Amino acid sequence: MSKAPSLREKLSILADAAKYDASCASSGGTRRDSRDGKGIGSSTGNGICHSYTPDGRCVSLLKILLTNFCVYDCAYCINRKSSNVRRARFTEQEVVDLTLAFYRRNYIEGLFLSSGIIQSADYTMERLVRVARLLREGHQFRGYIHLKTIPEASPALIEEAGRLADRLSINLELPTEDGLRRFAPEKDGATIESAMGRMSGAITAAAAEPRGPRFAPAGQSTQVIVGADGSDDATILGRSAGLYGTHRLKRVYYSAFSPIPESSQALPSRAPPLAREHRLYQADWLMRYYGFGSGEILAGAADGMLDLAIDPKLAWALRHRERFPVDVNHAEREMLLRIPGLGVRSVDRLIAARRHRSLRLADLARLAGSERRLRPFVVTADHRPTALLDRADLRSIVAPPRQLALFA
Amino acid sequence: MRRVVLAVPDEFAPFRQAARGLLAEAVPPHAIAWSEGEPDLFAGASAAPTSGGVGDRVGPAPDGPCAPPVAVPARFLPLAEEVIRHRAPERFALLYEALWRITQGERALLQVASDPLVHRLERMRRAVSHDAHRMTAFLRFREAGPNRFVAWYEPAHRVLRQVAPFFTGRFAAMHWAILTPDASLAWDGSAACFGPGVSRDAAPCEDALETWWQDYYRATFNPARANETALRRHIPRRFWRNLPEAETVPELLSQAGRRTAAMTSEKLRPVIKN
Ligand code: SF4
Repeated sequence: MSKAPSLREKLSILADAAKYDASCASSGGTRRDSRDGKGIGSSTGNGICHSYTPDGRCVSLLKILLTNFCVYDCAYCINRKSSNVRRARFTEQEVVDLTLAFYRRNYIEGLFLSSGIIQSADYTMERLVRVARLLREGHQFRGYIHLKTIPEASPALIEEAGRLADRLSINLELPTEDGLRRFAPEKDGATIESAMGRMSGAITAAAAEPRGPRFAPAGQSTQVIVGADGSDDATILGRSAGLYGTHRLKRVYYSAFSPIPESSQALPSRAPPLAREHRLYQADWLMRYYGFGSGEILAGAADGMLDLAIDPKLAWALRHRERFPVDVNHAEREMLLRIPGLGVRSVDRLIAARRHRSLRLADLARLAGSERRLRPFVVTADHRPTALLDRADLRSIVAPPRQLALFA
Repeated sequence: MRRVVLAVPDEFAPFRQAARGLLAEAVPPHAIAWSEGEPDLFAGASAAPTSGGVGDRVGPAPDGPCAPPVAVPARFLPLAEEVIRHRAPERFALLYEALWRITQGERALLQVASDPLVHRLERMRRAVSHDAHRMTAFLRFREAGPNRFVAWYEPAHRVLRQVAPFFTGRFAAMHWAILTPDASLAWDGSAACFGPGVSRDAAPCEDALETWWQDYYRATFNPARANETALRRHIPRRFWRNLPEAETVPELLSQAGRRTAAMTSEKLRPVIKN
């Protein structure tokens, strides 16, 4: 047995143990500050990334586990019972002190606290809630708090967690029941779903009653590991669409399965390409902001997988050339949103602008940042693509050649 | 040619006053040379921060306060207030040109985002707003005594007034100062006091907690995902020297390959079959 880790060592161990959780968002909390001079902190409603890790991921919250001891044995997790990783446990007060010390120096927006399961679900959940209570009530902390929820914990504890935290989350991790059975045998899909359902009900009820007690005003999120089991992208997106619909999740995070030290024999030894994770996020975005149905994004694609080389909106357009070109001076917003290279903001500004001017290609270039990609798909006052849409090599004309360099 | 010198280069009120006078006389944009004067910005200045920065303290303007107000669309004000903080010297001329066109009959000009002038102003506004956001993100306080903190920061544009409400709202119970090359802001728990710019050595050069923050930064990085391009896109080089965690980046990146290889080759694992 190695000697007990110092507080500073615990920080390293328990941050390392928490880093496989992709969520770091600090957005969506109620607007508040500490101008009354009593406490510390604020939330602007928009998240802030205070730094970025060397893989370009946002560092917004102090993301740690209370402990990486765990009685479960989930195959994909570095903290599972059978792993040889070094273990540590923070006291609740230590987490509070670290959070405040980092917060005062403007390193973070707040705390994202999760934990391995020790003793029982309720015992663990109670500890997490206690940290949030110490921060909120003891120190009048008004920064962001995201608590991981343990599905088996008692409803009373989850209710208190919701009252104290901005966001709650339960990670699904595996997109199918079968994956869950194989890799997280102690977890139960039905329990997770019903806990999500209860939280969703409480979030909606609290939002409808602005003067009543609050409940996770920034909503709930979840994470799905990509590439650990055999699920294809169509399955994953279908699952996400279900979660957005049924439980009104704020976000589904996709985390490319990452090789971990001490990993289980049951898992693949290689990571799926990070490009896959990126394409899933883009497809997710299309469902949430561009009016795409989950089935639509991959309709007509051969193998249920997103194209890694081009973004899903462009891939959709190339498969649906009969819907183009679109006349930007007359088309409905819904169709404008389908034009590759035109984002939501550009579309809204385009609609405002065309009330006053008839738009030309140069106008479009200013609205969208570039018109090279748009050209084959649009009609403007001075431009009509000539049979470009029929060309077999259209893909190579519009696909940016260097796009994959980001994932090299 | 009319010469207009604005002594307060980052506030909207003096510009507005000057512009009103010029519009009242119908001076066309091409007949005006705008420039920044000596910044006597901080002569006894101590004001509560407002995000608008449209205080009563107004610099000298060519035409006195009697120039009639000019009716402009509501969205001009927030646009101009941000564009004014941009460092590009042509900002005054561009804003005046927009005002001129609006008052000459193009009332809806600002809704035409595709217009070259509107596009350019919007890009400047976005640069300022992005810069202000980055200041709220990348500024780091160092402890200078019990409950006393000081930060050194180098913004690309003059955004200190813009971000002041963020810091006074968030750290209201702390005493702190933010120092930048062209201005500074001190907060004593109840009032904000703007002062002149200072040099870097006025700020403390260390804080004991920074090594803890570096530990956290190291631990939260997954070497299997190393991606330097993405990091540089999010944090351009010029920010690195003021971020304590940036020091660890070269080491983290150079070890990433080795650490990942060690994780994947510990033992040869069969790929799962479905
Ligand atoms: S419950 Fe499973 S996923 Fe959570 S810490 Fe324990 S082993 Fe890891």
